[in-house]
Amino acid sequence: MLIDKLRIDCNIVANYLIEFTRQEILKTGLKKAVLGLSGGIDSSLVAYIAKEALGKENVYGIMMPYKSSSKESLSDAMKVVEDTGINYKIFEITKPADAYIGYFEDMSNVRKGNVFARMRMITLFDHSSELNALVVGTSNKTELLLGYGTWYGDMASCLNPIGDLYKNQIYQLARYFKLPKTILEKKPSADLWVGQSDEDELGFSYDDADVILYHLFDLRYSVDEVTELGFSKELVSGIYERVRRNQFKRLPPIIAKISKRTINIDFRYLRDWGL
Amino acid sequence: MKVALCQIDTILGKIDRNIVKISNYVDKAIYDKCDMVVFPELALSGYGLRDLVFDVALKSDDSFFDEVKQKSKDIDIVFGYVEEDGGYTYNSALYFSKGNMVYNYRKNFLPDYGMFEEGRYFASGDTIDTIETDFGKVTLFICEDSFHISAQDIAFQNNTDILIILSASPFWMDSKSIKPDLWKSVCSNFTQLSGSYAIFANRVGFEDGVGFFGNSFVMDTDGNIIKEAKMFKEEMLIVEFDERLVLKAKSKMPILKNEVARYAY
Repeated sequence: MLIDKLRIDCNIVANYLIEFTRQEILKTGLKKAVLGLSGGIDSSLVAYIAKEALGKENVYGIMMPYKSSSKESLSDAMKVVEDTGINYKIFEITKPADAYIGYFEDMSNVRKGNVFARMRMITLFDHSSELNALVVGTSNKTELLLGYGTWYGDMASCLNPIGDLYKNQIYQLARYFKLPKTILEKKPSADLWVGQSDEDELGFSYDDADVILYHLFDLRYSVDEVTELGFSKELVSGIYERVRRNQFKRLPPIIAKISKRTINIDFRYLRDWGL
Repeated sequence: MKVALCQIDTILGKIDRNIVKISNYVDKAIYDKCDMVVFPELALSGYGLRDLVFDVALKSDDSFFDEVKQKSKDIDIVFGYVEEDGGYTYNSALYFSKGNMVYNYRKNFLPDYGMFEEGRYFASGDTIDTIETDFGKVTLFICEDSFHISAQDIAFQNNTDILIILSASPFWMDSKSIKPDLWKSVCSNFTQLSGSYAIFANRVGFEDGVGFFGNSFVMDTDGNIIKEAKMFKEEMLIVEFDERLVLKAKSKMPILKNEVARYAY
């Protein structure tokens, strides 16, 4: 099976991500993490990692349902809170989001989805300031590559332990951490509107996307070489094109170079400068 | 001999603070009666320096090293730093012994592929020397040097007894491979074919998400790991071994002897 190429040693990866989360937070002088808990597999997994890294008393899971969010999402998130013992808060984004949406007629689902994602981002970063905590990101490699997320919304964070793991690898780790069964078994959904399903919306399965992305970008296969593995050329080139089109979402804004030393062009420092 | 491998994390660009950590570990190693203490590549400065490289660079004889030099009266000390010479910077390592700086090694092979930018910031050294120490003939490599057969060949031709590798090796893995195995196989190959010991000191810690995996080790002349440190955690690993056994290994499998006969110039 092609998907077996994405197999990971969960014990080693788990240890590595726990150390990453602990060390990259502690070196900033802070010791707490805040994250949005949706009840989905990605943010649930990050909660387990953060708990191991920092201790349950230093992790804050914020649930931010909208009025149309499914009840299962919230109850699944609560299962994670109960199982890990981390701090939690429920902040319903309906009023602030509707206050904004109410100014516009016929807002599309995509625009509304972006507003929800950014309302949640505001909530998380506000709590990070209140709690002296860093926002831990929960976007996986599959959605980061596909650009299946909201820029400065759910894609915004201070650090992200799972951004180099494909969706299939997220599931491997989630089983390793023994996440609640309902979370492991339900269909992935951004839950931005009723009945939304990631795979329906994307038009392909996560396993296919993972295999194609892995060959295109980790192994540097060409579109034709990936097609020969047994995928339609349309699907493979469509995914390649999606990745290219969304490169902007994975980078900070570009700056017009004028001086001899321009930020991020020839003024080059790691973020961990002095840390 | 008894060697201490200090797989430390460093504060990026803060040499004043990192030298304190290095100095404290040297004290610990002296207290534990070690003969030698080895730190990783760029242990003084951190690895992902980019434009910080000029801020942290020092001459090899800078008085900044005086305290460490003093301590080397009690123990041999090896660590990596950024060297400045003639306006250029080098990814270098210093060897202190008996109160003196006895050797300054400049990394020969600077990786510039994938995530690596060393070729952009450093000038490369152009010699690999093997030095006489109380423990036999020692060759220093810095990380990438080890992957070059030509560098290994010099260490082999010099009849190295102990190969010391200072490293800042980033972690990666996939379904079939994991970075530490690459190091173990490179060292296993070299130690067996040259009848030498290998000391691999690799840093830990994260820099902008890049994790250095640690797992420092000492390998014997049969390619066996005598002792290894944990992955991802700062640690001082103390390993004791009989360095005189290189003579048995070299006589049992006299590879270099036959090499010399075949290619005598």
